[in-house]
Amino acid sequence: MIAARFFGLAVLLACLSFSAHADDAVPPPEPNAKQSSRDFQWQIVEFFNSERCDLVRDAAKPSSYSLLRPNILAIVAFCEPRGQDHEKLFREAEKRDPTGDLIMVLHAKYVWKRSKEKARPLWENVLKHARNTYLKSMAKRYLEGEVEKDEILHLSPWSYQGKFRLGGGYESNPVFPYAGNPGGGKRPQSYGTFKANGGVQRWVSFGSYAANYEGSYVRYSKSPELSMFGNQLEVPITFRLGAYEDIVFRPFAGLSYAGSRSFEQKMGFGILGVAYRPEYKQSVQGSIFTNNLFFPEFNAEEGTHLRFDYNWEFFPSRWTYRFQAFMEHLRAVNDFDNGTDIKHSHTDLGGLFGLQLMGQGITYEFDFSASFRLDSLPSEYTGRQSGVRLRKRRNDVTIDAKPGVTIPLWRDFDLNAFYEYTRTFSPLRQDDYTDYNMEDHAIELVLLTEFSNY
Amino acid sequence: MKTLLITILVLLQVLAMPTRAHALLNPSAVGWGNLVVPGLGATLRGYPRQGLTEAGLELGTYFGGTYGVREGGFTIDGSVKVPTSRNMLSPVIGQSLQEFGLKYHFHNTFYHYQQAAIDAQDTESERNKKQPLYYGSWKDMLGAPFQWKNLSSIWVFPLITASAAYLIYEYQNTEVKRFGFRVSRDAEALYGFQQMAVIPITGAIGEEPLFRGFVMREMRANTGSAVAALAIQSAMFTLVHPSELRASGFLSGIYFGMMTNHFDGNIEPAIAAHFWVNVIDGLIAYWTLQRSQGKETPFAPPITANVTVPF
Repeated sequence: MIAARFFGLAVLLACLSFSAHADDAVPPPEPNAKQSSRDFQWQIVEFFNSERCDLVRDAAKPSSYSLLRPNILAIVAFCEPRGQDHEKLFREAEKRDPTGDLIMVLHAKYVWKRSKEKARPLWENVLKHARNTYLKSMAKRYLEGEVEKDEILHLSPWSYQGKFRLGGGYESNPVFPYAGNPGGGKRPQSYGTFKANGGVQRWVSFGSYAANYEGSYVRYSKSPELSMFGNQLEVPITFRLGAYEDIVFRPFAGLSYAGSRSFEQKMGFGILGVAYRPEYKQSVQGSIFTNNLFFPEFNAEEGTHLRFDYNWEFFPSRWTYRFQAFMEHLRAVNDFDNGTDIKHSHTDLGGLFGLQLMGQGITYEFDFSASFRLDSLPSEYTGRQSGVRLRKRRNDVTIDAKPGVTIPLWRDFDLNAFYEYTRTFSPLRQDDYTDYNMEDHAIELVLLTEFSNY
Repeated sequence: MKTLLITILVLLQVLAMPTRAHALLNPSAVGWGNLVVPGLGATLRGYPRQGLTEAGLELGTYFGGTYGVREGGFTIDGSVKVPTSRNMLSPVIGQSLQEFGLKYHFHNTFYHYQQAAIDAQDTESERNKKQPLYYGSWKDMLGAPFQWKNLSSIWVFPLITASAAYLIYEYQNTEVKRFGFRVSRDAEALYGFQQMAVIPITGAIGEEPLFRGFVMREMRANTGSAVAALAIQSAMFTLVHPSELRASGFLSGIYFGMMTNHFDGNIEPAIAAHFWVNVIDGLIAYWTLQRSQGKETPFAPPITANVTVPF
């Protein structure tokens, strides 16, 4: 627990420390002019939301442009004030806030109205840099040619969004998380699944704060005891550290049920740093969390987890590809408190390569991941079949391949189909305490939709 | 429960934090961010490959050190437990790897903080920092224990001399318990190398930049008080030491902090003192191991039967 204490203390001191640097910020424009007031700038947003660009043009005077916040300047530019170079105004707003979501979207929409081809790099920029996931989806729709007439944008300091997935599929070897091969052989069967993500976010001068919930339910036709209901809540607070850098504090908690019994509870927090660059986006996250497993057969796997994730996303033209690498160390509590002979503390190393190609309306996706789990210590036990005393260290390799395709159906409804192959190779076989050599095929068809207040 | 409390505390701090987008990277965020997430400092500063290399080395050596050993709680010198048996080789290797990984991480945290602070020097708060920034490189830090100007300081040589006298006196007058087994020559040599080279070097050029160069400077800026900054960095330094070393950790944290303040933010004298005190401490630990197996050492203390490895 000292690790958690140190981690927490460091974060605490960090938080105290950041506040002392508030003065490092670029000094805001002189606030005395009426046109720079918060109320006035909010009025501009209200005019824009009411689709009254004429009022925006009348309200914002060229002499006060330098006093406007970059977002408001972009709104003014979008409304095409007479006698002004609109591109120059967008450039000025982008210079002051190079990765501002709204500025990028308004600029792309402004150019799109004139030339879809010229707007392409701007939409790609939104796809690359936008923090708001709904605006990313919007960019995708414009890039895929799904949008015929420019969509109206409704602005608010609050944004909410939701995604729903309803699907069904067939799986060759469904098992609980953490479980090995089931005794009595595989039970291939069909399943139905529903997933909902919802979030509300408040955009503020330093970044944003939000609450996001993810709920998922999967029900198997022949083994209802494997049905799982998962819930996760996170409360991320984002700070914009520099023009191209964010840092996010992510406290999170999760609770899942298998059938009507509690299965797992987890709680912790992560710190995520994101750097936006012209060619790529990189994020680095460190997280610490503890989990409790309520099923006696799995609770030796509970403990304190330290996890580090490194992600890159590249956006060349219609392609998106990404790399992820992670390392996770579990310090299993039972290894130390109970002195058991079967050890569960382990370190995982893994990587993922993901590819996405946007065709005319259709998105093709392929993910491949590989991970390696190495137990810290060998376990000692009596063989289940041989009855002899054995000593082995678990070191599993798991590979996962997932090709898929997403087809737009109507407005915000998409159809996604994927196949997933998972294979785990382990030195632990039938004679050992659990057989972890596993193979699973899954095929699923999903109906997706999303909404937002934009 | 502790994690929950920490999370709530952090949230309260975060919600109270006034800040805005910065034109230049906030050095404080770079430093603290890197401290909790290896590789983050380099990533934010625009050096992704360097970030990945650092993270790979830091995490790889730290968690690689847990392979094949018993793992205990996290401390500033790693989490590997060395057993009281002849199988010392892999725990000592594990502990050395962890020592390297952790202190390399501490050093990099300071480095990225230092570089971001140099970039941000024209901002008001950087100019107004009460503790001057230490500008030295890793080479300066590595050379600091051998610089006459550091060793001859009134803050350094009396401390080294007094520490040596105390440690030797304590060694000479404390009974050493004899092991019931022989430690292999390889394990003994590796233990000596770890105690007299790995720990002093990594400790001095990892801990001093982090605690005195970064944490104390940040706390001085935040609290405006040298005393509060001294106490906070020393408390943090103490917390991450194993329980039996916390008293000495706190006192040395205070002393090295005072030394850094005396030398206007220059951490090199503290590095020199920290290094040589650790070398002497390591030498005593090595002699203790030898003596516990019945060998002759200088200032040889009496031996009694029975056993634990003096870690």
